[in-house]
Amino acid sequence: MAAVWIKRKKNELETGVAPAFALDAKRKKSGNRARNRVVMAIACFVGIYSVIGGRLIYYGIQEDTTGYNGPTGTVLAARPDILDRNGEVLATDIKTNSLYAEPKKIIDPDEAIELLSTVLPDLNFEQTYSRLKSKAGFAWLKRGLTPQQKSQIMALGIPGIGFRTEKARFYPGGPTASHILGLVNIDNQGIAGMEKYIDEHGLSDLRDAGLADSRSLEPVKLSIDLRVQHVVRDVVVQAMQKYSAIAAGAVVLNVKTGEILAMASAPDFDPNNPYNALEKDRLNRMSAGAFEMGSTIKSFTTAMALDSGKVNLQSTFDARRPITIGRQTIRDFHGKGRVLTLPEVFIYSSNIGSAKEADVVGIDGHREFLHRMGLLDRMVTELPEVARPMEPKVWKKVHSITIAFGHGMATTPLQTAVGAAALMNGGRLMPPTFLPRTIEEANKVAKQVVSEKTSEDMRYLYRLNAEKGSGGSGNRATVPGYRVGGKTGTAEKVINGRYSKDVRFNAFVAAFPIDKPEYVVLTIVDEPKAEAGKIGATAGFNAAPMVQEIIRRSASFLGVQPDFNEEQISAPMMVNFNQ
Amino acid sequence: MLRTFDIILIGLMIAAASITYKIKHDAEKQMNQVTKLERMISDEADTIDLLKADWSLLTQPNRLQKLVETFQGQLDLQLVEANQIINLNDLPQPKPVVFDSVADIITEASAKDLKPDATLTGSVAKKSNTAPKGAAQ
Repeated sequence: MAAVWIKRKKNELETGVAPAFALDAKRKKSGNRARNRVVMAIACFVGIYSVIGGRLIYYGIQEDTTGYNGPTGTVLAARPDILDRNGEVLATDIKTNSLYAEPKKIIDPDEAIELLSTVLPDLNFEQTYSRLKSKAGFAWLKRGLTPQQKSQIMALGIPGIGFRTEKARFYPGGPTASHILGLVNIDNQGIAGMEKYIDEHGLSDLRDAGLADSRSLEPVKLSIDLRVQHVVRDVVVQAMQKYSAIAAGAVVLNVKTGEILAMASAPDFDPNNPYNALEKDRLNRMSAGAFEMGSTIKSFTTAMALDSGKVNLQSTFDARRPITIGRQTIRDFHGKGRVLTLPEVFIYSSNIGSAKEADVVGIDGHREFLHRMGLLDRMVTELPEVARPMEPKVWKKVHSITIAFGHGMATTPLQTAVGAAALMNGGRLMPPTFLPRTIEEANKVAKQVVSEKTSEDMRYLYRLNAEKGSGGSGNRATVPGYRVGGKTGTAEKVINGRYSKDVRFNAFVAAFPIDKPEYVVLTIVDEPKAEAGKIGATAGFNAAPMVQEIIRRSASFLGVQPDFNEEQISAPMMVNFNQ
Repeated sequence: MLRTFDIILIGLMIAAASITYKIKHDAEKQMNQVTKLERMISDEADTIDLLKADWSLLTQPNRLQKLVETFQGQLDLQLVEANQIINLNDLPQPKPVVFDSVADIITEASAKDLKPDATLTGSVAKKSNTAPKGAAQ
């Protein structure tokens, strides 16, 4: 059937019957040229359109990515807010408006200034006038305006002025937590304190990836309690003035979690205007300053002796004669000149007794113990500003003796507080942290450094010391209802290579409530003088009252219940203590 | 026939073009609206940030302390002392007059029908045993 149809069609073509095929005949006449042209034209158009289409798709994809991230300027500057443990703002980014003028375009400078001064009364008249009169293309008039001021100025309708939004880091508390929060530079990058920590732990990577959008950044919560932090700083600053000291500092540490609730060191700086932040005198003495901590170290000497198991609370030490070693003679400040029991050595702060305590474990044992307590190694915490403790390269007998009462080695006050916390909480040493941490997390990173029993004995000794301590030094720290226990430390400072008699570094380390410690408070005063109208500038007169003031004002914030029933001390075991 | 078909096609084309144009125009209008709203939202967010900062500035303990010191004459605020803080449990119990009468009715009623429960007596007895111990401590 099909063969017949094809044959008929062929016949028709040959005879020229079908007029529709006239073109076909023409093509045959002019060969294949026309078809080639059509194909070429088609190829040209396909080529051009595919290039255009390809470019369109390319631009389409391009626009998609740039449009998503917004302007890069704001991405670079964004930082997360920093909050305290209760969600109070410690540091935040705010957008401020800065007013600029284009003097070339300003018609009447006098009128412009007159109008501007209705909104900005503190505008410097002469300076602004000379700026507006000049023929410069651009001049800043005023930076850091509020949105209200901005809209008011806009409403004035002055030609030739405009606004630029700038992102600035703002610290509502000013100097309150300056050393903890640290600083940012002009590019909003953290250069000190927790700001630097945030940058190092992800923020700078996010920025490099272009993902650090101000709205998507989660705020960073610290372990700091703003109220306690204020109390601590207030006390520290007042103490510095009251005792005419060159510096003072304090820290409040949670014994169970290692969280730092508050830490202040004076003199400090205002992070909103950090012109003097890099002065050497304004460093964070609590973590970045290493000091000879004096008698507070006797806590560790005593704990070491107790933990060795070779002595107990009934052991006695002969403190009748000063120890002479080489050219040095070790004497007691509150000398009793008799045989002392271990609690007496502690509460009378006997240097001779402490040296004998250290003797129990030997030189290597002593050194090993202080390393175990983390006092001689660089502390690991979030703050970048941490000093390395100093110890003798080779320990000799004399070193062990002097270090027993806190001379001859230097460590940071924060480390001392952390070590003391380990003595209080049942012997678990945990690295301090500025970020919130639960007890379970703390127990995971904690290291058992002394036994539970030693810790219990130390709690008893701290309480005892606060009740009847050396020259009543400790009891200036007691707060009725809050059961404070602690140890003073008065170290003589080295002036021109010799220990000076009246230039001192004082410290007080305390724990409360001492029957079940929750917080350790450590205060330091550098080179205090006697308070006006009083005599004595040892730790009991300045560092201890600071602790008292801090605990009295902040205990209720810290959630410690006052209890007046447990004021009397009970020894953890039978003690011969009848003095 | 061809002509009508052409006219229909041309009409369709024009209609399609105008509808496309209208959709595009509307979309642009909507986009403008969206960007405008987005700008307003970000302005508001910035204002919220600023107000938050302002709020924390106004509620700084530092500032409050200064205010208290300045207006001490009028306010006469004092530090809370430890002995002013007590637990809810430390509060003296008010005499449960009404409750007592109800309890009496219940005990009277139950005394008629039931004997005291064994566990109840047990617990009461235990309580009286521990009480002197606690007092001794």
